Amino acid sequence: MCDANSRGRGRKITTIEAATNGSDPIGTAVHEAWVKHDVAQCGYCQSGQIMSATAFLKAQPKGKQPTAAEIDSAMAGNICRCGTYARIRAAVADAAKVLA
Amino acid sequence: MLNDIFTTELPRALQHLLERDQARGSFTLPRRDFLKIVGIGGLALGAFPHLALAQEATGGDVAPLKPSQQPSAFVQIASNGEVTVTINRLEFGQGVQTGLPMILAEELDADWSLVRSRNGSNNNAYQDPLFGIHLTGGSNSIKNSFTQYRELGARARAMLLSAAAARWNVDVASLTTKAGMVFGPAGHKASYGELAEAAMALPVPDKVTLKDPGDFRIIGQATTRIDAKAKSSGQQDFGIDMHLPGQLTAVVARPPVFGAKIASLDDSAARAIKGVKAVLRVPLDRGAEGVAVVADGYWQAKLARDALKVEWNSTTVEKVDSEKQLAQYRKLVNQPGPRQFDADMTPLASAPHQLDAEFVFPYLAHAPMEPLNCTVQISEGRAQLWTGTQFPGGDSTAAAKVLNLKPEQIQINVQTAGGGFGRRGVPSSDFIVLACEVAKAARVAGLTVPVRTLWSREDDIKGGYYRPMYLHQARIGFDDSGKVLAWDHALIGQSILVGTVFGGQVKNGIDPTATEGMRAPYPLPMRLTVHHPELNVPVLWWRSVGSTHTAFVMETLIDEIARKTKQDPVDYRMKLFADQSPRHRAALQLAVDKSEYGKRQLPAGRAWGVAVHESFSSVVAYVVEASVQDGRPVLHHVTAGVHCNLVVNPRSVEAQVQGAALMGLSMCLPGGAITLKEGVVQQSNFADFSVPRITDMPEFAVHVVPSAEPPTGMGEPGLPALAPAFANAIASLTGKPIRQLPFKLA
Repeated sequence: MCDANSRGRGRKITTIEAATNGSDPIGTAVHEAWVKHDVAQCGYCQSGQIMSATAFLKAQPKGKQPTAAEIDSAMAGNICRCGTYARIRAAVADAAKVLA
Repeated sequence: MLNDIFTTELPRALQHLLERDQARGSFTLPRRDFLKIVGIGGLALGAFPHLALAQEATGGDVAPLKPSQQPSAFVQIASNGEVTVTINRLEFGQGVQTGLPMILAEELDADWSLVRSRNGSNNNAYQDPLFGIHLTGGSNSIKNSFTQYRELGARARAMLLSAAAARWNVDVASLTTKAGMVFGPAGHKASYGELAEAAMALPVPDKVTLKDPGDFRIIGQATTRIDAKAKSSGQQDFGIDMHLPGQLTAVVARPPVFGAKIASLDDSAARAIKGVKAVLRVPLDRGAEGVAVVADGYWQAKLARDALKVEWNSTTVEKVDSEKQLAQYRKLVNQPGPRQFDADMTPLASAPHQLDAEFVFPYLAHAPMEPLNCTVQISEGRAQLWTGTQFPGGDSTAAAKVLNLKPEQIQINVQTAGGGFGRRGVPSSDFIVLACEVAKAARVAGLTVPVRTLWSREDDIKGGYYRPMYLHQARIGFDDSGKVLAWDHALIGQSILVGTVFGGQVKNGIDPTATEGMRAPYPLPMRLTVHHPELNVPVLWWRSVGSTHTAFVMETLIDEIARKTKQDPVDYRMKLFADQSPRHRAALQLAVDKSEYGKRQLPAGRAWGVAVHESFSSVVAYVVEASVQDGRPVLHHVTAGVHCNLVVNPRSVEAQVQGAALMGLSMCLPGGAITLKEGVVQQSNFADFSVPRITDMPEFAVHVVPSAEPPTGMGEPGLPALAPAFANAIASLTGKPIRQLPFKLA
């Protein structure tokens, strides 16, 4: 709420619902990779994980495949207490491949 | 507080919890109304559970369920063929939301693509069939409900077959089923959806024949979670998302020291904040007092809480200080006390090799991602609660006591939870009781609406109910062959069970949840002395409970004896197992084989580490590769060997092993500790109570020993062996054993 009022002013803000409703090709690829790799356990953090992954892949130059270290670095801000990180890695790499 | 109420139920429950290896009991299904087959209307309600519950909640004319009454349903088959299975457990990440429906769908011969899942309630029907109480814990969901859900599926299938036989006027023995369809001898076929209504009118069969496990086509298949799509698109609702008509949100200001009371309160600034409806004094756990702010939403409530001017009186309560506590434990460790095991300690003095070791383990917070919350609606003569709880059986009694109702007048609608790890299964029902106290006070203040009491992250991290702090001391004498001649061990830590409804399980002054995992499976002459000091810090079970520390102590010491006697740590363990402990041997051998332990050359600076441990009837062995980089221990690769008997969902077992291992890793890395100073918890959020990030995640392979024996649980057993395997690798690199968590490299 704070962010929306201050840092977010004048900027476009999107949500997990918009990113994964099929209208956004990158968000859709990430959503599909998340389901394919059965990433979620409790699922509480996964909306944030998916938004970070989508933002990361949107910022990738066209055709560039991210390295494992780049994926880790991009996703290091999101905590998952269930420990789903192995599948998060696999899903982000897979989504990048699908989008290539 | 519940002693007088639960004397018949809970000791029986815990007896099962503690006798985890006992033979599987048989479950007799109450016949009446065990399954309900509904038309599309019923399913529509199921598709919008919050809406349906809101209508029910505001209707006010829904009769409370009697304790003897059967559930609304375990199985619903809609006319379109959708099969909805109600789970008798809390889904909080462990995957029972998919595993239990798989078991039922197997015997039902359902079309898996049409199988759905839904949460249950505190209705007696959803009790654990072995515990006799509604409880999710002890990695028991699949283990204790395997036969139960198979029988449910088989009974539903038998009724559908009877309906088809009657429709086609053929012998039921001539019918077959496959993927949600019944097939007859003359080319007849009908879907379960078509037969559902007629089947519902038939009697429930007494006896059913279960499938030969060789014929399983759903059980054992790697199956994507039913909730995977919802949890990958923001569609999954959790307890925190409850939004009933008119609902208000409350946050509670708590004293900085457990058990303290309000000395003075100035709430004028808080009350002036827009959206604030009430500021209320509420009783808290352990005789403390708190201040609840009830407002339109969380943000207003939080702002108002920040604006409260409260002075606390903590003069009469003990102020625990971690450093002083450790000094106190060190004094206690050499005192005589009750003994869990005994053995002749005279060989200790003359043993060729002696090893003295002290281990220190800190308090740990569970830190589930979804902060604790509970929504309460009180109406005349009844109350409804919506919350992600592991323990609705105890919670309904605790809620009833606060609200001056009978337990059967409480309905707890179990909500999908964002993690829990034990924190949502509390003998004192602390977060349920708090929400009821807030809702009760709000009602007295004229707010007759549902109230959602919400904890912030800081409330949770600072809120107690931690894995206890423990001190272990070991004096071991052994010979050149590594044969242990005497092992004198002392264990100090608060009891989780003393003073709770489970207190009766503490025998001879020893809490079995502190000592589980000691000695076994090794044939050691061990004397184990136990002390349970009482301190003003609430403690609780934390994923894998006693094995969080006992496995570390046992598996690092066994490794150290192997190193000191120049034996390979795997060979040494296998020698100790001899012809016993076949599941330990199989799990360890599988991890060794798959990791190519001892065969493959590791990169420079890396070392192997090994550990194996049984908890909650399953065995997990780890072979890891680790290194030290810039003074920090790094876990690179993990190979797991798992023995959990028959696997229901291999994808779920893999996820649980990886997740539990990461929680084990959280005990090792910097920041994995709760400490107190002058009674005040020093950590408050993930900045100072750290948990692993993706950058800490090792490469991770999970391998399972094939077995057709009835399944054992996997929610917890992946945790205990990870930390000692990691520590053993680091110790073989540095030559110095690790005897403190989180790791401290000198």
